[in-house]
Amino acid sequence: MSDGGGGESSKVIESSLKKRRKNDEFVQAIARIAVAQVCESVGFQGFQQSALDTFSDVACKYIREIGKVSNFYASLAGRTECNVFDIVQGLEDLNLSQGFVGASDRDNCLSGSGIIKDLSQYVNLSEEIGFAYSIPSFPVVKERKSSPSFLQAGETPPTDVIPPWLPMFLDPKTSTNAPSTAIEETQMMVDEIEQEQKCVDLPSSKSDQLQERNDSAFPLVVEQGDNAKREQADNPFLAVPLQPGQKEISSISLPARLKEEDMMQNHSNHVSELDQSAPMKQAVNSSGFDAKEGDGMVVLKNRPAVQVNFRVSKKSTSTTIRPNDKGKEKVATWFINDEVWDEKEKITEKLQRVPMDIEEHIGNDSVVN
Amino acid sequence: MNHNQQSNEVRHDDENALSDFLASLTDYTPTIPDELVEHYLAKSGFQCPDVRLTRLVAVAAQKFVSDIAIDALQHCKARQATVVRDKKDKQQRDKRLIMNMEDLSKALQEYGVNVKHQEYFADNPSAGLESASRDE
Repeated sequence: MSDGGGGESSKVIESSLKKRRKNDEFVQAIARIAVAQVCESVGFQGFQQSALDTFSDVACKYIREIGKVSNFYASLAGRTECNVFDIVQGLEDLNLSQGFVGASDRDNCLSGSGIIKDLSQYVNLSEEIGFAYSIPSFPVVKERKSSPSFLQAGETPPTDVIPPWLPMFLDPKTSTNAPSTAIEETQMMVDEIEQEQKCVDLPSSKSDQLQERNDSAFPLVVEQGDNAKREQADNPFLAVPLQPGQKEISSISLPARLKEEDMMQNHSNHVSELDQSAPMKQAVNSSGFDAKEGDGMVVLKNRPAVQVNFRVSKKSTSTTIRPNDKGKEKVATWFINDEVWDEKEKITEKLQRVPMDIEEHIGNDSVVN
Repeated sequence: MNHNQQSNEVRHDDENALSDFLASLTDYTPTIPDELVEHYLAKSGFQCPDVRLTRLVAVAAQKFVSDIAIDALQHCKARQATVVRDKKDKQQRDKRLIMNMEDLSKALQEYGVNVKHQEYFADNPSAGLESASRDE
C-alpha cells in the first residue's frame, strides 16, 4: 500500500478513498443486487463474492461509459442535453468490439441501427424482472446552513480589518454562558417566589421566620432551577414524615437522569396524596410537641417537617385537591382568607413549623398526573 | 430516383420502429433500477430529463450484463464438466452453478475487459487493511 511515500500523505489518500467508498457504498450495493438478479435470471445459482463485486463494478463502469460517450457526442453537436441518437451512437461505439448488424455500414442512419434492433429484441424476449427493492431517490443532498455574514446580519465588524462579507463571529455567550444563565434564571425564580410569599400575606413575624428557614432550602432549588419539574424544594430532610402505620412504598423506577432527590420528592408526594387529610390536620393543629389534645388530633411526636413551596402559576390559590371535604376547606381557606388564618393562629399559638405540602401537591397535580 | 424513395421509406420505418421501441420502454421496468442509472449517468456528465433514455441506457446495460452472464455460465458449465470428469466424489457440491472469478474473467475478456484473477482474495475489507497497517 505504501510505496515509499510519506506516511501522512498515504493516510490522507486512504481516508479520501474511504470517504469515496463510503459515499458509493449504497449505490454499489444496489448495483450488486441488480447484477445478481440478472445473473439469476440467466441461470446462475450462486456467486463468489469477489466475482459479484467485480461484475457489478464492470456494469457500473459500463453505464458511466455510456453516459460519457453519449455526452461526448452531444457536446460534439453543440448541445448540453443528450438525445436518443447520442446514446445510440455511444452504444455503437461501445459495441464495436463485439460487432452488431450494420456495423460495417457507416452511412446508415442511427434510427435504423442494429443496436436498437438488438435491444428491442432483448426487451421482447427477456422476461421483465423488476428490481427487488424500492429505492429512495439518492444521493441525499444536505442543505448546509452557513452562518450569516456581517452584511446579512446588518452589523458592523468590530474592527476595520475585517471586511463585512465575512461570516460573523460566534456569539461568545453561546460557549460560556450556559451555567450563568441558569443561575440568573433561578435567581429570577427566587425573586418571584419571594414576591409570591408576600402576596400570600402571612403574618409578618411568621413569614420572616419561614423565609429565614427557607433560605437554606432555596439553594437546592436553585441548583436545578431550569427544570420546571424540579421547582419543588428537593430537600429530602424536609419531606413529610411517614405516619404511624404507614409503610414506605418502593419508589417507581425512574430514568437514570432524574436525581435521587427527585425520587425522594415523588415518593413524599405519593404519600401525601394517599393520606392527605391526616397531614393536613396535623399541619394546622400540631405545633411541634404541644398540640391541642382536646381536638382529638393525632399528636405528632417528631419534629414536623416544613415544606414550603410556592408556584408562580395562578393555580396556587385554586383548590384542585380531591381529599375529603374537611381538608379541602382548610386548604382553601388557608390561602385565600387571612382572617381564617388568624383564627387558626389563635387556636394554635405556637404554630411555627408548618408543613405546607398542600401547595406542593397542587403543584404536582399538573406534573404528576 | 426510385432507389431514393425506397430508402426514404426504409428510413421512415426505422424511425417508427425507434419511436415505438422508446415508447415501449416507458412501460418496461428494467432490472437495473432507474435511480442507479441516473446516478451514474449524472456522475459522467450526462444530462437528460427523459425517462425513456434512462431506461434505454438501463436496458443496454442489462443486456450487456446478461450477455456476459450467459458467456460466464457457459464457461462455468464447461469447467464443471471437466471437474466432474476428474473428481467424481465431489459431484454433489459441483452441481450448483456458481459464478467464479475464473469464469467471469474469461467472459469479460471477450468484451474487452481484462480482469485478472486474484492471487488471493481477502473477503472482508478489514482483512487487507489490517495487514497493511501491520506493514506500516
